[in-house]
Amino acid sequence: MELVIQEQSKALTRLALKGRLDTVSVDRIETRVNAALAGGTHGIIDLSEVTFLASLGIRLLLNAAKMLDRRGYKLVLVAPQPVIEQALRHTSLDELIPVAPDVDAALALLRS
Amino acid sequence: MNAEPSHAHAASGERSPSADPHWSVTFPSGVESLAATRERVRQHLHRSAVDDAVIYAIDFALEELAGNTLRYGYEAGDEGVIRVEIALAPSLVQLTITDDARPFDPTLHPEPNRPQTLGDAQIGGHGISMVRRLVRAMRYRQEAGRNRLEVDVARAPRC
Repeated sequence: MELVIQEQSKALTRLALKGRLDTVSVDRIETRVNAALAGGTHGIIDLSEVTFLASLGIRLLLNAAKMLDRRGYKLVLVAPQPVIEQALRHTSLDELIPVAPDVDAALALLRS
Repeated sequence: MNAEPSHAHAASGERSPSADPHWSVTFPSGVESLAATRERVRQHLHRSAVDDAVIYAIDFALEELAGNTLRYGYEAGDEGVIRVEIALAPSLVQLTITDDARPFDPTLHPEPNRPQTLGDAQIGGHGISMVRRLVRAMRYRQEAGRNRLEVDVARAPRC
């Protein structure tokens, strides 16, 4: 699992996760994800290269969204693969965290 | 702790695992050991020409169900043993997980609530529910003081 910080500005933090989001990888990157999103901005996480999403990965995304929500910011998830999108739908995470097909759509959601 | 699983049947070296409809591996309790075992299971299923969606479901069930056993089934410092068996049939792949952790029947685990807001959302409790979505059946029993969990994943019919 790889974490890429694609943008950190005064208004936005944009991350990309790549690989398998399972127990071992969540243990390794959760602290870094939360630290990257803790700067007082909205957040975007690109999931397009995530190929496996375990329940601990759901927990990571939910924790990140809750942290931003408590501070008055939003998290948007971008471009999940179909199997990942199904997991988000099944856990109702997609009803709590907006999911956008691309970064432009995610930015539009954050502006709305 | 040895992170590398030891093979009960598959590592004879004389017979390709892909030719074996019954394949098993035993590993010591530990998250890294489970990760290595999952990799071995995926490799076995790939060699056996199992579809990617079925491999995903088996891998997911192993991650969640054996992962629960590792996280909650043993006392700190316990060194347990978990056995994973894969049986290939034309219509399904059966995953069997046997362990010596404290008794736990995941088939009785309740579905999580559907939250209305982020603040209401519970952090955990989704894994078994997500497994149910991907598999055809789960059966649990205790056998000689061990947990035995069988998981059936349907294979798409071949044209």
